[in-house]
Amino acid sequence: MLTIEEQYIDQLTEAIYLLVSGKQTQTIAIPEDLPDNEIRQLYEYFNKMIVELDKASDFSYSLSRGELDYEAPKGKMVLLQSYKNLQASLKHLTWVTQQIAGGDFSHKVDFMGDFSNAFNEMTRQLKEAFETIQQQNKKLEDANATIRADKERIQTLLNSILPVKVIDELNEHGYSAPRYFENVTVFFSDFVGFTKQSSDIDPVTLIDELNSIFKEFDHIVTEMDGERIKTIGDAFLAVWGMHLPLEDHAERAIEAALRMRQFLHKRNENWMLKWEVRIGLHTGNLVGGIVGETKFIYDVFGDTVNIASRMESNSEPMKINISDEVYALVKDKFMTTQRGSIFVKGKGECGMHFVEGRL
Amino acid sequence: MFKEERDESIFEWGMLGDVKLGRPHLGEHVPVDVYRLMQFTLRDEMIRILGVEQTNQIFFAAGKKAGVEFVRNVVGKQADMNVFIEKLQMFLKKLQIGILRVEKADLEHGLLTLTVAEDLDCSGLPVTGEEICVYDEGFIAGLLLEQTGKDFNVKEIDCWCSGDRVCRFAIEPNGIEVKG
Repeated sequence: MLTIEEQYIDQLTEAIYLLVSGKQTQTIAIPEDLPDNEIRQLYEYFNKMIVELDKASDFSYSLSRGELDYEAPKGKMVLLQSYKNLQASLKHLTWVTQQIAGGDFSHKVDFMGDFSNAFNEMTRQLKEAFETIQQQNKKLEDANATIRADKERIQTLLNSILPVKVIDELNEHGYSAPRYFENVTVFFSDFVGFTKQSSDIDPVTLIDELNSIFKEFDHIVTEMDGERIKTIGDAFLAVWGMHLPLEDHAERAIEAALRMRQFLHKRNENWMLKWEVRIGLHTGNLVGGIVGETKFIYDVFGDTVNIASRMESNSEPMKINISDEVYALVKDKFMTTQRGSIFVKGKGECGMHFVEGRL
Repeated sequence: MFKEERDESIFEWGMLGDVKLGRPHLGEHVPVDVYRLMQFTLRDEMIRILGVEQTNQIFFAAGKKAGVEFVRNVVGKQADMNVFIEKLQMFLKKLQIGILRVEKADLEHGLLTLTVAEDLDCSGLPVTGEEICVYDEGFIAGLLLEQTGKDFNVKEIDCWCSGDRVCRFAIEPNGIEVKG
């Protein structure tokens, strides 16, 4: 029969009492002279249990603080094993959450009871919200692209109607004030017999003809740094030295006129419809500005414009007629033939010269 | 095919046969106990005859072969490692092999810590203080070899038998790129 002293029972009782009261419990010191019997065995196992419980407590405390890298202690107690399982699940959840945060919504959590359902539902909703945002962003991008394209189209259209500097003024200030330009060269051209010829051609072909010729005229004017102001039927009006100051504005205007004439000559050789122009140029001052409100154009005004027009109407088919003022600027550059004068009201006699070619 | 002598492995997936055809009444599934009965008796005899080390080598090699074939015939090689892991998880769950989870993944350096819960080989076994899932180590090595073309060291660091509730595998590159 095993005899047990009361103190051994008391020690065990006290240790267990501290344990269940939530207090720190130390292992029980086993007396050296305690025989190797059931009591000693009980003490040894109790102490092992205390050690394992301590480890499990430290581990669970670290888990409760979210310290997932805490190295799980070795042990066989079911309690410890359950904590280790919990730690493994939390580590996996951390990884899954990181994948979702990175935009990969394909991951699911399984076999974690209610948490699985809640987590997977949250992921599903995140995915839906993300896709909705992506679709909206795509719509926004498309809308922005449309707006940009429209803006470019409008800009192109404006560029074809107004000088660039005028557009800049409109954009910056909302209006563009008329300006006085000194020492510019005005160019006028007009088709010979247009009215008669236009009655013999169908309207579509007529417009195509005008369009084809004026496109090339525009190209030449731009090449020579001029500004096409407008066309009035078959008349073409351009100016050099206005928004882009040019010292050689007259020379450039005449060079443009020569190129236009050459273009028409070549075109007439190869095309069934033959066109001839009269060209006139004059140098002086003018005023330029926007006219109109709902439908506006940029136009130029003044005697210089009127005289240039008179130069044109007093020119001859495929001839370039320049005034004295233009002649004075270009006489060292071009071969000319003097050809009399016209009376200009308010100005008097105005000399005229035909330009034959470059010197 | 099944019993001839060989120096090279000749296993191929087709050798598994058509179980549906062969078992129209009993079906394609058996209890885990039956699977373990075969594995553990085989392991027992092999250890008795060949020793622990050689038995482990055989189990690892067999597992690796199985892992390679599993990717080729079931999972499929994926363009992205994350997609591969996701598909692997799905198939291991579907085929009731285990619940694969990722604890750590440093894909840039090829470092992974994977866990397999409810592992086919060991979950529910007595706690003996051993890590016994050598076949699974080989299996995972085979999976990664086929997916990445690289050899990996796979070591089970926690097992049901060692007292954990999941099998935990530490994985690192072997530094050998396998061609062909």
